[in-house]
Amino acid sequence: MPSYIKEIAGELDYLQHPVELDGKFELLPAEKLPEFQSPGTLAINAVSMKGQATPLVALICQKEAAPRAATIRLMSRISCPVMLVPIGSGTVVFKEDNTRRYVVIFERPKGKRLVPQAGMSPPKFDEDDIIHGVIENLLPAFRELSSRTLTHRAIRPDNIFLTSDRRAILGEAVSTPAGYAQPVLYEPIDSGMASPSGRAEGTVLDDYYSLGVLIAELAMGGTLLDKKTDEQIIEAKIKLGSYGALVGQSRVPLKLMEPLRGLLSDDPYERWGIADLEMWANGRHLSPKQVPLPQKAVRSISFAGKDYLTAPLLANSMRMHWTESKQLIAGDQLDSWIRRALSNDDMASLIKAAQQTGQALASTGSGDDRTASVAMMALDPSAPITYKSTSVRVNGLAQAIALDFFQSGKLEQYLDIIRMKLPQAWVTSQVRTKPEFVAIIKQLESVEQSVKNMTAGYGMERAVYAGNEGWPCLSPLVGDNYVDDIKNLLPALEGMVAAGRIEGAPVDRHILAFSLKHLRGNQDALLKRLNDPFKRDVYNRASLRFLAEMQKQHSPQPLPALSAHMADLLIDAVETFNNTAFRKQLRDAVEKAKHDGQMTTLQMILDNAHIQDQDKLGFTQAQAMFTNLEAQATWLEKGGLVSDENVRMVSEKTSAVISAVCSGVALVIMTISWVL
Amino acid sequence: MGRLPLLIILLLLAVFLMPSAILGCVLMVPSLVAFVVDRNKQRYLTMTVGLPNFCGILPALTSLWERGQTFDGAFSGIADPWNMMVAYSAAGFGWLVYFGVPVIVGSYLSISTEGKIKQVRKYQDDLVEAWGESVRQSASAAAPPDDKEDDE
Repeated sequence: MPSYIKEIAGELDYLQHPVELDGKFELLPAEKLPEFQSPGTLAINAVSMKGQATPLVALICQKEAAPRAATIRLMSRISCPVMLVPIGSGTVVFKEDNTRRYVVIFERPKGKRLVPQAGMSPPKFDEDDIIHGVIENLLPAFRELSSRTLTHRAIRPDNIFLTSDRRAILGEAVSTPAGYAQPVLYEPIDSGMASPSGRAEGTVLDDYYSLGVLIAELAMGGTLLDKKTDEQIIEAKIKLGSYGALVGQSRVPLKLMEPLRGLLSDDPYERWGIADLEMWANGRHLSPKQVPLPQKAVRSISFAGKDYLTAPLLANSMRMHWTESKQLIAGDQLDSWIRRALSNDDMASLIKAAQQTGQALASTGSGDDRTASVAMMALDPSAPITYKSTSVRVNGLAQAIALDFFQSGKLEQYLDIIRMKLPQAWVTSQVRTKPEFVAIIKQLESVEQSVKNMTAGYGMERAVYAGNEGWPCLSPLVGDNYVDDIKNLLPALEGMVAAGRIEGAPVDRHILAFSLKHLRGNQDALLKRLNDPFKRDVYNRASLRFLAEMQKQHSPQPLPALSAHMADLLIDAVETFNNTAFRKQLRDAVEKAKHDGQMTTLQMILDNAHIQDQDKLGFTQAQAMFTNLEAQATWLEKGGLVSDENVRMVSEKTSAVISAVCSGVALVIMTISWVL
Repeated sequence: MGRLPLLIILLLLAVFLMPSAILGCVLMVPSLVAFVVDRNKQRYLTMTVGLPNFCGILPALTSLWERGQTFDGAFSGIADPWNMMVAYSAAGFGWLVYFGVPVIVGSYLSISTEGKIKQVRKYQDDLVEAWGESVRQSASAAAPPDDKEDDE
C-alpha cells in the first residue's frame, strides 16, 4: 500500500458490534476479511438482510482519502461479472465509538488476488491465458465503462482477482479517489508525473494504458522498469516512450505486440480504446501508429548536473529542481538552446512571453514562479501543471485541494495556481484542444470565484465541496465522522459535543462551506457575522443562528447536547439583559430549549436583536426615570417642598383657585337672586 | 388674543358704557392696586383679589343699569357707602385669602414631605428590583452636576 495512504485496518480493530446499512445489509465488523482489503480501507464481512446467500464484503472507507461518491452512484447500476461493482453504500454509525463511517458493499470476488501485496510483479502468464483469461475476459468490463464514460483507475496487479480457471476479475475502484493508490508504473506519463492527489478522474483511456502495463507485466513476468524508482520510471517512459521503456527489445508473444503498442501509446489520441480492442479480439489485425519520440536537440543542455537532449526530459527534471529551474529560465542559456539546438522559435517565444508576464507580476513576489510553471508547460505541453512542489492534472485541481487540504504548505501552492490562472495557461499551451477544456475552465472559474472571496463559507474550503461531489466535511469539529450528507452534520456535531470534544462554537469555515451548498436562502449577512472568530459573542450568536437554520431545514430531530452547549456558550448573553424578570423568563426558556433540543427556540431567545433593543430601550428609560426620581428625592430631602419660594408659588396658585371658586359661587347666587 | 385688542375693546366698552366704567373704576381700586403690586407673570394675586372684587361691584352695576346708565346714577352709586363697603369687602376677602393660604399650604407641605420622600424612594427601589443595581449608576454619575446646580 502506498505510504501516503493512511492505514485504518489496525486502528479500527476494536469494532465488533454488528450494524445495519439502510435495512438491507448487516455489517459484521468482528469478522475481518483482510484478503479483500483495498488500500486505506478495512474489509469486514457483510450479509444481505433480504436472504441472498451471496457472500459479501464491506469496505470501511476513510474520509482523508474519500471514496468516489459520483462513481459509486453510477457504477452501482452496472451488472458485470468481471468487475467488482458496489451493490450498496452509505454511512453507518458504529456503536463502539459512536462514529459515522462510509461503507461500500461488494459481492466477494471469486478467486485470489493476482499478487498478494502492492508493489509485487505478477507471475508470467502464457499467451493464451493473457488473451483469453485477461483481455477477452475483461472486455465486458471495459465495454460497460466506455459506454457510460466511467473510469476504473485502479487497474493494477494487487487489484486483479484470478479465478481457479485463470480468468481475471477487476477489483473495486471506488474506495479511494481515482488513481490515488495506483503505482506510477501503471499510470500514463502525465498522470504519473502528477502527485497522487492530483491525478484526477481522468478518462477511460487511462484505464486502457493500465491494462497495457498489466499485459506487459503478465507477458514478461515483470517489465524492464522493475525495481526502478518512480522518477526513473517517468524519465524512462519520456525518453523511450512507454512501450520502449516497459517492453523494449524483450521477447513478447507476437500476438500481444499489437495490443501492447496500442494500449501503451503515449498519445491519448492514438491509444487503443474499446473499439480497437474488440476488433483485435475478433481477429482483425491493426497496426498501431507509432508515436514519435520527442525531438532531439543538436546539442544537449546541462541542468542540475545532467545533460538533456529533449524538451520534455528537461521539463521533467525542472519539475524536480524548482529553484534551479527559475535560475535557468532567468538566464539566456535556455532561450539560446531552444532557438539554436532545438530550432523551435515558437517554444522560445512562449517562454519569453511567460517571462514578460512574470515580470509584470513581480510585485506579487511570485512572478518568477509563474514564469517557471508556464515555461515547463511550453517545454512539455502534455505534462501536468507544475508549481513548486505540486504537480496536478488540469481537471484534478479540486480533488487535489481536498486531498491535500491539511498538508503543510500545499494549500498556498494551490491558491497560487488558481490566482495565477495556471490552468488557463495550461489549456492555452495545448497543441490540440479538447471539448472538455471548456467545461474544465468553466469549473475552474467558479472555483476561482469561491477562492477569491475570503468571507467565511467561501475560500479554499468552498472549492473542496463545490469541486468534489459527495466529498465529506473535513472540519476537525466533526472528528472522524464521515459526513457527506447535510442531514448527518448536526447529529455528528451532537455526538462530538456530547463526548466533550468541542469547546467553542461548533462552526468553522469547513462546516460553513459544506453546509452552504445545501442551505436554502441567502446567508450572506450571517456569514459576515461569522468572519471573525475572535469576536466571540458575535461569532457564537451567529453560529447558533446558523445551526438553528440547519436544524430547521435538514435535521428536525432534537439536539439536546448541542443546544445545551450553545446555551452554555451564550448564557452570558442572558445575563446582559437588564430586566431581571425578563432575565428569569429567558433562563427558564433556555432551560426548556436545552431540554427539548430545539436550536430554533434557543436562537429566538439568545440571538434576537428585537428583544435586546427593547430591553436596552426600557433600561435607558428606567435610568432616566431613576435619575429624575433621585433629583426629586434630593430636592424633597433638602426641604425644596417647604421652601419659601415653593410655598409662595403653591399658595399663589391655591389662592387664585379658592378665590375663583368662591367668586363663581357668589356669582351664581347673585344671578339666581337677581332673576328671582 | 393680544393685549392691544383687549385694551381697545375695553376702551370702546368704556366709551359706550361710560357711567358703568366710572363706577367700576372707582369700586375696583383694590384690584388695581393688586395688579400693580403683582410681580407674578401668571397674575395670581390679581386674580385672587380681582375676581371677588368684581363680584362685589355687581350689585352696584345692576342697580345702575336698572336706573338707565346715567352719570347721576353712577355718581350716586359711588357715593353710596353700601356699594363701597360691599365692593371693598369682597376685595378684602381676596387679600385675606392671598395672605392666609400660605400658612395653611406651608403646614400641609411640611406634613406631606416625608410621605412624598418615602413614595419616591419606594418607586426607585421598584426600578432597581426590575432593572438591577446598574440602573442606579447613571443617577450617581449624574449626581455631581445636580449638586453643582444646587450649590449655584
